[in-house]
Amino acid sequence: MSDVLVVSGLGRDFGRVRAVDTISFTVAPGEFVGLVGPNGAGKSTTIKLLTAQLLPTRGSVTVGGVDVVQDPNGARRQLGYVPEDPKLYEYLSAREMVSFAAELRGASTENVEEVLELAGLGADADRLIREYSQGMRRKTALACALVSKPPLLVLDEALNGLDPPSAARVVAALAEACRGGQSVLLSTHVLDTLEKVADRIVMVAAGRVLADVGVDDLDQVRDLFAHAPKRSPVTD
Amino acid sequence: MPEPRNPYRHVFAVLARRAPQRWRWWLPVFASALATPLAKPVLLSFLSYGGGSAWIAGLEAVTVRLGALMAAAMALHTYTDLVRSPDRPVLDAHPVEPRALLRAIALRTARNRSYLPVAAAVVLLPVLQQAGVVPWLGAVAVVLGAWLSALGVGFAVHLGAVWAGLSDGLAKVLDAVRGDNPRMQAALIYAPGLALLLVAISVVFSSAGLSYALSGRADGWAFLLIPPALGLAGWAAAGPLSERYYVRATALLTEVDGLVSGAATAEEDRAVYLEWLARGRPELLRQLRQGWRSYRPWALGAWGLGLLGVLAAWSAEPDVEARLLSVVGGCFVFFALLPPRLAAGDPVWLDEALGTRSGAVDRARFTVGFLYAQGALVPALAAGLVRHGREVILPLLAVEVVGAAVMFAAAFLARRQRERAAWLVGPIALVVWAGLTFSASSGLGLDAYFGGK
Repeated sequence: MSDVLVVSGLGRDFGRVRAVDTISFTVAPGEFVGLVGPNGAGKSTTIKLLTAQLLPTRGSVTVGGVDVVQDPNGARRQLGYVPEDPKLYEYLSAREMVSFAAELRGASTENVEEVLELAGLGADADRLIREYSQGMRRKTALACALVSKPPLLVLDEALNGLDPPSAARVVAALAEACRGGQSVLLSTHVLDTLEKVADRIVMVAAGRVLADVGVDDLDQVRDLFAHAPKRSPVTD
Repeated sequence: MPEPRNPYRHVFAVLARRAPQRWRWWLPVFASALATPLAKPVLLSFLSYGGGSAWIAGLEAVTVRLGALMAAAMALHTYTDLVRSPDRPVLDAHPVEPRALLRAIALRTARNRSYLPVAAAVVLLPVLQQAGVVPWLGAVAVVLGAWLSALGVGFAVHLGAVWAGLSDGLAKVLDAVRGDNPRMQAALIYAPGLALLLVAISVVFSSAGLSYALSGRADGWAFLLIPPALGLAGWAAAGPLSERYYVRATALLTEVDGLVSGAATAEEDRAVYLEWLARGRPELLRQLRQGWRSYRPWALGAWGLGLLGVLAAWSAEPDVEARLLSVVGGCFVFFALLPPRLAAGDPVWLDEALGTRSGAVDRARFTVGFLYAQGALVPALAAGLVRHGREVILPLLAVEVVGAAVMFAAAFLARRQRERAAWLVGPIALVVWAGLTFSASSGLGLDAYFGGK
């Protein structure tokens, strides 16, 4: 079965700053991949490039075989995305927001209850989102991403701001999605989160892939993490 | 077969029900009703010329101005509602059906901005009273046509701007016109102006048609269809453009924002307009920095508006004082919208966290608005002094005093209401401007008050 995400020679410059130098990796169906790196490593820029929110300076990305630059809307149909700072309609309830996401994604609204429960929002699902904490907003965004069971889930620092039980619940939900055949790319700078659930770790620093290893080699990643270059290079 | 439900329309309707903002619709209409009798002697002065061709020409000129005003407002509203809309970051996480989304946004824009032609119809009510129902309906039709036209053309032009910004073929053209801006931003910057130009040309035709029709040429009425027809053509183009460019606009905006922040060098960041006035006043310094970095076009645009003041001051007509009060006063009170914007840019918790006294924040926002507005006034003062001598000082002093009062009210409201204050300040500024115009054109004018020249 072909890879659900193929990142090939991806790079992005902002003026003279090379935010992402050259990044290549793949995610196979059903695989849970952690995208890790210190702050400023280029993780969020990479995620923006994968989700069609930014144009690459070089390289290409395909999601489910769809080129992100050529057909950004088509690529969005192939992925569920949870941004670092999710934006939601403040005057909808989580249930309404997730139902709306299901409608946009052509998914059955029967999935709504299931994903609300999975994200741990069941009891609060009818409150307006404007009353939600940041953690609950993340859970709502996660439920929106899960509702259509897309081939790929992309999460940018999605565990930030979650209390430990909620983080564990979200990670369990993602692991469950993987068991169902979906793939997950979780960007984080917290390595311990990945230890129990990830299949592979892609470590980036200064806009480059420093390691693309199985989760068994997490200690190698930890070592690289400690000595990773902090600043993005400047182009000539 | 029933049309499938448009999910965007459904959600927009729910949001509108839960966060009702009807006052935002009524307030400008109410302010127009208050301002109309005051501004009538200047805005609708042709009504005092008596019947016949004189007032027909006057009505034509007024409908052109009001139509252009509708076009300018809608060119900006269509941009903020489609390209920079708060919906975009919400929808960026999902696939969208661009045509259905465009229809929903257009309907919401039409509903939310429908106060514009209604306010214009209120402003034109003296025409109904003095010239009759047909001229008034004709004038309202011209204005409504401009509004409809700008609605369709605006969406098409803004989506076309995304295409232009991403187009390699237009790179050289955009480089030639972009100035210091990133290339992709140039396309977005010029789009409202292009929409305004297209609609304004159609309004010139429809206004002329109204003039012909009121002069007895029945075929003139047909010209009133030109702006709506242009709007329909724009709408027809907007659909296919949305399919290709609504989603791509996100990448363009991220690109532009990244380039803009990357283009500012450390030195440029340090240099702030009027910063030397803020020595020892940290609150003012903070607001000046925020003003310069977030609202630079306001600082520069004030000097552009100053050119209007120069034209008004350079006039050899006997009513130069009235023109100064009307034109310069209008430009000046417009800057009362700046303090609410400055307040919107400050995090809610900031002043509390810094322990800043609220009065100091009010004064700082007032000062920034007042200082920025000087760009609209100083050129007029200089031109007036050269052309007419000291007699221009009094009307411009009146503008300063009245403008300062409005600005302070704006700063006061801005701290309490934040960006919502703009919806209160705008109508207040409109009525104050009308009052200035009235005072200049009536027996209550400054000449009478101060004992004449």
